[in-house]
Amino acid sequence: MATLTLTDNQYIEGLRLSDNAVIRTIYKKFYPAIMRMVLNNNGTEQEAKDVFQESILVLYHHVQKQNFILSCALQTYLYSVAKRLWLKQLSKKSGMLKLDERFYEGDDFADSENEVSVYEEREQNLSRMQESIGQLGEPCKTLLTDFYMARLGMDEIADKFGYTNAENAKNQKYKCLQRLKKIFFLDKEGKAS
Amino acid sequence: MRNIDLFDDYLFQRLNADDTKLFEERLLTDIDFKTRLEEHQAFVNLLKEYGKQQELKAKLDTVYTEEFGVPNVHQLNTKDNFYNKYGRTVGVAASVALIAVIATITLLSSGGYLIKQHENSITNLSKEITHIKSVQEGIIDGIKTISQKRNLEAANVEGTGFALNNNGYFLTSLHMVNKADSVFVMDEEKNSYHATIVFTDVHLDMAILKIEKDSVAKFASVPYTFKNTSSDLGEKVFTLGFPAEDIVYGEGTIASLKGSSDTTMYQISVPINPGNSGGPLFDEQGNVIGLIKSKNSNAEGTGFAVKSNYIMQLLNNIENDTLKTELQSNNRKNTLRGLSRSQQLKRIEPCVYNIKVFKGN
Repeated sequence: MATLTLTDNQYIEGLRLSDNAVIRTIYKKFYPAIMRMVLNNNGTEQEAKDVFQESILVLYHHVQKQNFILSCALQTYLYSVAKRLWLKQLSKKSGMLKLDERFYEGDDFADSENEVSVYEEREQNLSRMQESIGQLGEPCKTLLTDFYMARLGMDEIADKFGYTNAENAKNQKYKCLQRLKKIFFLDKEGKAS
Repeated sequence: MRNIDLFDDYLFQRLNADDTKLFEERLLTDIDFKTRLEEHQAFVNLLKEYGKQQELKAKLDTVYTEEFGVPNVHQLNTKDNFYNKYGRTVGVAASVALIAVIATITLLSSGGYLIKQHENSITNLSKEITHIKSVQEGIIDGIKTISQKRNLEAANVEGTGFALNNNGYFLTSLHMVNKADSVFVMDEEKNSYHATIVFTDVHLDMAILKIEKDSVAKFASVPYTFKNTSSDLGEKVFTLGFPAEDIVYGEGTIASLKGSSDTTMYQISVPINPGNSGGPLFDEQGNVIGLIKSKNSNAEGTGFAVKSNYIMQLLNNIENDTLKTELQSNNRKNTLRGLSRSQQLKRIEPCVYNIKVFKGN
């Protein structure tokens, strides 16, 4: 498959829309450098993959805001965010480190720490959401996904789930959402204490 | 109509013009109503963001699999990287340091491990290379930033281990892996696999390690079996182990059926060195008859090995049923009998591993 050549803004626009071809191109173009960085610093391919994907999620989180402006080359952005994420992981599993001396050399953009910490705050809520949805189970999970994300109408949902009418489906949606909120906030309080 | 349904209709712009107008008027006057709308909206946004993120993750995974296949979960051999990066000079310097330190440790270690229980001084055979590491780091520091020094202070112990079966279970010496932060098992191709300690016995100084089976494409099938009875005085024995970076063969005889008055051990006249700890001891037919444990540093060529019948006895008494079953899915057939020694070694070699242990401070 031919690789597209795109400008940074085109990458960002494509990522914002979650465009398949752009995501593939981003992977091919930016992954190798990050993979080498992780592999040269006590990481495995699996870890390199995770770090790269998390960096993309950091970027994705930020590009969702309409006022997002990339303050450096995309390559630099992703590399330094990945580096920041990998350093954090390394410090967790310290005691067995032999880092590449190039690890500390420049080409960071100054704000990568901030970018990561903003994302991590959000990520905490998102992973709590993931846990809550996991506990919620079916059919609520699919019902809420269909309603809030796929934006299906109540008639379609009633059809799909075999409810007698739209009003009935609406009741189910209501109950499911209430349950999800209950799990989510209970979980949140439980964790805070 | 319930507020939440109303909120959803409003947010999805599914209210008609009149209702929208009414809704927005209420927002202006009813602060509580407005707050609840905002809370609901925030929650729904989080839910949507979660959905989008999951979708993106799935796409990324698909692309990864299509472009790069299945990621390797093993760490690549860092030794190679080290030499590539720092080149010959440091390598030579480090080897000199290594020889010096091993010599020093060997000298200093007389009077180590079991001296309180025995007249003889017995040295455990794990290679303590902390000092070597710090010497190496001293050299590296000259060319690298020092900021992560804290992370480089880990103690590092090396020795030998061998496969119990081809389910990913390995046997080694407990004194090596005790209190480890992490244990890695390195095969002959220098691939390292992270291992967990699943069973230990202090008395016999043995530990069972496990590598997740999924992380390794295929374990070599084990050509040897464990001898369930005691061997005889004077029997010829041999071992394979990692006193050095590469596997080393050693042979000798059973010199005594008691190791330092301990009936669970053989005394053997096999040249063994730091790094041999945890290695297998074989008889001429290729049965495992022991686990190399320690040596008498006052008498050259005097080593000790835990007898295999004690090991088998212990394994048979494991209470955890799952572990017991997994361990017993052993190869029951010794395929080494009658082969020449070099043929035997060729088959055994893939089942003997270099164990690398990282200990915190």
